[in-house]
Amino acid sequence: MEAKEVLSSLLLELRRGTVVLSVLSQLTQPMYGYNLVRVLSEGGMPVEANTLYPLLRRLESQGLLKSEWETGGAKPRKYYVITEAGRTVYDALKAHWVDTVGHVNALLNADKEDANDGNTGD
Amino acid sequence: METREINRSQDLISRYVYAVVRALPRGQREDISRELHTLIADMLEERCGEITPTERDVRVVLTELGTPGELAAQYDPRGERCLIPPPYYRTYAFLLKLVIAAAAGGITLSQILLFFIDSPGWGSALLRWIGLLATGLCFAFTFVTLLFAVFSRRGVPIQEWGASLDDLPPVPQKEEIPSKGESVCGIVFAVLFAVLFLFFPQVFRVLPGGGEAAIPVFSAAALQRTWPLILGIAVLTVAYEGFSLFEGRYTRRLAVVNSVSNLLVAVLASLWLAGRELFTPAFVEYVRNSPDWDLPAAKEAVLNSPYILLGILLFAVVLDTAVTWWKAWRYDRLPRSSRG
Repeated sequence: MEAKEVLSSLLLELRRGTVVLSVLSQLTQPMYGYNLVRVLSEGGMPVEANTLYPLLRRLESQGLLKSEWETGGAKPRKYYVITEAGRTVYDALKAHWVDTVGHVNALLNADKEDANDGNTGD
Repeated sequence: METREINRSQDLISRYVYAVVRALPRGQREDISRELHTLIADMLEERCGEITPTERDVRVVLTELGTPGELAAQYDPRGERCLIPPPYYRTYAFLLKLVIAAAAGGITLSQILLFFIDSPGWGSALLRWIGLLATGLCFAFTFVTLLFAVFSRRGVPIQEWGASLDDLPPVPQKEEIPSKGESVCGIVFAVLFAVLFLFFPQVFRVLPGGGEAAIPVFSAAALQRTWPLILGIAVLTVAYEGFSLFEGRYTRRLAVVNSVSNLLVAVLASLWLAGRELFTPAFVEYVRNSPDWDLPAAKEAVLNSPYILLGILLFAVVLDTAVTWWKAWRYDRLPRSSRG
């Protein structure tokens, strides 16, 4: 039971940064919050609306996103899109992510190879 | 689908959204409120498609979003770590700014007046101003912080954040919200009153003309003896108005706090105004003998002004108590379970 709790808190930590990266990656086109919830969920990165909506505002206040109300449709909707500054941050984050994934994968695979070596030794 | 059920669903959504945004910064409330309304509509549409959502659907969707407190904390996570957490924090910050501004303004204004009246040296005037400012602001900060620490730590439940969806209070209409302007005026007036009478009674003086020295109106000794009464009146006023800002609607408990605070203010003011000779003998003499004042009635009115003031104040207190109870009785529609 305790290991389960530890795991879920570790997974939460692991996810936190990836959510921001995923959100930024999708907002090169203007999108409203709930549409983004769907897109992320379909892309295998489900994020709850109650996490995503506050996050969008936070990213906007940090200058990474900008928003605009669209009142022409049936419901008034707030569309978010990435800013110039957001783009720069996103590119840097993405490069870092690709780098990290490469390194971590290498470490994880090295671990596996060690295990395999051990097995062949027997 | 019955219209009644649709209305009930809409009402539930409005209550929920209001409870969330009430804890958030004023400038963001309208925007977040609109966004949440659309989000809830989208979630309902996804859940029900073309079919009109039932009240049960609304409840499921709102439960999915979390309690209003949880959702508000997502929007403003800083508050969780404060001594004074939201939703108290908003009112606290507002009241603190107001009290500090009023105290600093009052102290500075009376210092400027005294500078022209007494014309002390720049150095000593500046030192006195800084010293008084430090004392006054420390007191104001300590008092407001303690007041809200007490609000948030004990006994004052957060009415908007009921444990279940059935406990959410309705969104108050304009006339159901106590006037913010009145509260602001009351607080500023109370602070200025305390600052002037506690620190600078010498500001009140008459210049007889003909090269004679200025005559102080209020007896410094009488004011010194009665300082707890003066401070008590100001503190009670600020505490009640602060609670009224926090409560944000007429409720029974607001009326109870109003009655208690009014009663105490009436007692303190009576002790202060009726019990002592507030005027200096020199001022009384001046009014009696002044040749500029022909009307004896006017002289009597000036000399009896503390009693006249007390009469007006008692009348105002009774009226205010009655009006607050009437409004509380008329507008308090809080669910029973969330009454404090």
